[in-house]
Amino acid sequence: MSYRSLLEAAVLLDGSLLAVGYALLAAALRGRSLLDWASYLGVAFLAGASLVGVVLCALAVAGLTIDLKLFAVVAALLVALGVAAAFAVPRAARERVTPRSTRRLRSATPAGSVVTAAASAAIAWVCVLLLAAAFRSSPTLDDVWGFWLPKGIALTRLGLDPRLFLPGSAYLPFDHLDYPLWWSVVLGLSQRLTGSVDLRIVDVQLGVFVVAMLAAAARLLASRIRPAVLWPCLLLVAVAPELHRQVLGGGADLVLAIYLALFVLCGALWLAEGGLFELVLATVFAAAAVQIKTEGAPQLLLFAAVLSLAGWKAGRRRRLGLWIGVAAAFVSALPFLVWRQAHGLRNDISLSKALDPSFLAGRTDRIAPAARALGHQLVNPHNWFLVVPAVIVLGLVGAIRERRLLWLAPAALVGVGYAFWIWANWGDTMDLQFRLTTSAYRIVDATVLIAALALPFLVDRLLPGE
Amino acid sequence: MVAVSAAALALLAAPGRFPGPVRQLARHSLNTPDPVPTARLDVAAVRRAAGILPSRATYAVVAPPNDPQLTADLLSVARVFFLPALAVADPSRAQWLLRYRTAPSAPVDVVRRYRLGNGVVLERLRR
Repeated sequence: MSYRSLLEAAVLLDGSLLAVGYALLAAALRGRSLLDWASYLGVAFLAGASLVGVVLCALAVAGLTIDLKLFAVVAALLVALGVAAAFAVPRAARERVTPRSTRRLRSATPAGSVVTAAASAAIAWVCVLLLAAAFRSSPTLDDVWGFWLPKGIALTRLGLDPRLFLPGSAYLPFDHLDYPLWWSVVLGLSQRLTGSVDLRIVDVQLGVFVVAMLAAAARLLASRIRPAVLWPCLLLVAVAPELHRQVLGGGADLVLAIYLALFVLCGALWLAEGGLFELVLATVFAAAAVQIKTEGAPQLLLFAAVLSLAGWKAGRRRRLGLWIGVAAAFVSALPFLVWRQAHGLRNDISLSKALDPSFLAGRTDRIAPAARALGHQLVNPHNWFLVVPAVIVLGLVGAIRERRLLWLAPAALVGVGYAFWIWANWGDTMDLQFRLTTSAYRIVDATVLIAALALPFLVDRLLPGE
Repeated sequence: MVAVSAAALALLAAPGRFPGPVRQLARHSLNTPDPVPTARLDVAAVRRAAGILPSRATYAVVAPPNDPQLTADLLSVARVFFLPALAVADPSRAQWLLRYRTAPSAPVDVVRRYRLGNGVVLERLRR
């Protein structure tokens, strides 16, 4: 129970996930400079975490205990496969998945350089502060020790034991049996590596995921957005009070939001530019998103639908590619979905009720309070500053100025995310006030982060050239 | 860059000297390895119990019936520390009993009793 054991656990686990991620990217990055490889740190970590988690979830359903030995074997196998593929795949095939655009844009003016340097240094320090706080904080959200972490400990000690993961026995099962296993697997392994129960590791891992998201977004956008725009926009997210609160909260919503937002970013880049690299990343990020929380799947479908409509002019081939990626993500989640179905586990929120017009008609009084509470979370400057309103206003300005509806795509994504959660609360049977008080602040995370990653594009396109 | 670094270090060293919105960046309030429950629960006592309970045991927890929040938190916290030992709802089926400032509702045959302080007791039951 020391900072050292926390640090060792994080370095061991996250270093392994990073190695897997880099192996996955090896075919695409082969031949690049060391600095180029280093710039993909965040992308590699998030891709590696997704892949390892997905494989381990499938193995848990197959009956294996997700202990450290199995984790090491799976990670080593994935690294070996990735490296082998990097050398075995013919050059022509490798070039098809190589990122097309990696050259980072540079500031053309001294003022731009100063802004870039100050903002990037500030982000680096905010990340240090965030991680330092995470190392010194036990999660504030009771869901963490109520079921996310205990499920993870059980998976690493007993596997997917029906006595704990199914109702109906003499043993007390976990809450939220319908929830997928990915986040619990990550937490369970982290906990095993600390050597004893130390809940601060949950916040540490969330902090690492947030830092990785910022690094990944910076890498993916650095070749597309002017640095004097990109870094201040990312700084706006990095210092958002709600981001820091939620890292110390320890909930899975933030990780889900990170993967959904990066799926949307990579999916949009694929539709706009047709680079296979971004499509592969979109698929890998989507795979994690559907295996973190049950609401990941419907949100993924909705955001993919908005992307398809917004990118209609990209052509049938690219739209089809996006949906193949989404389908592949769902296929990766099939083992748990089939297991859940086979054991009759139902979603906490009944889909049949939430889609039943007569049921919904009898509870329309839930719409307005839900819309108010969720809207407040989206626009409250004390939470995420004014990221969401800014995206809507800038989208409108761009759409009017250039008479192009595409400018409104980020606002449409925000609108769909907002509408989805109003509908989910409308069709839910739990006491509305309780539901909103305990979850409204975190279920909007994906919507906010999608807006945050769209903001640099809008600002960059609206500002005149340097 | 130097100015930003100096400001960040100052914030890390003395967050109290900065205004609220900046101070929250260096915020950390619950520096403990333990869960932080809603109810007033002696988590350290539960952690001590985990050092006694065998890993393959079954256990039940008993808490004052008039405090559902305490009962829920105790169950969750015990599970975090006691896994892979398994919780059962019915104390008559448990090998061990964690009593939290309360007596069992039905008589139990105790082989050994461990007093963990603060009215928290771990009992090994005859089975």
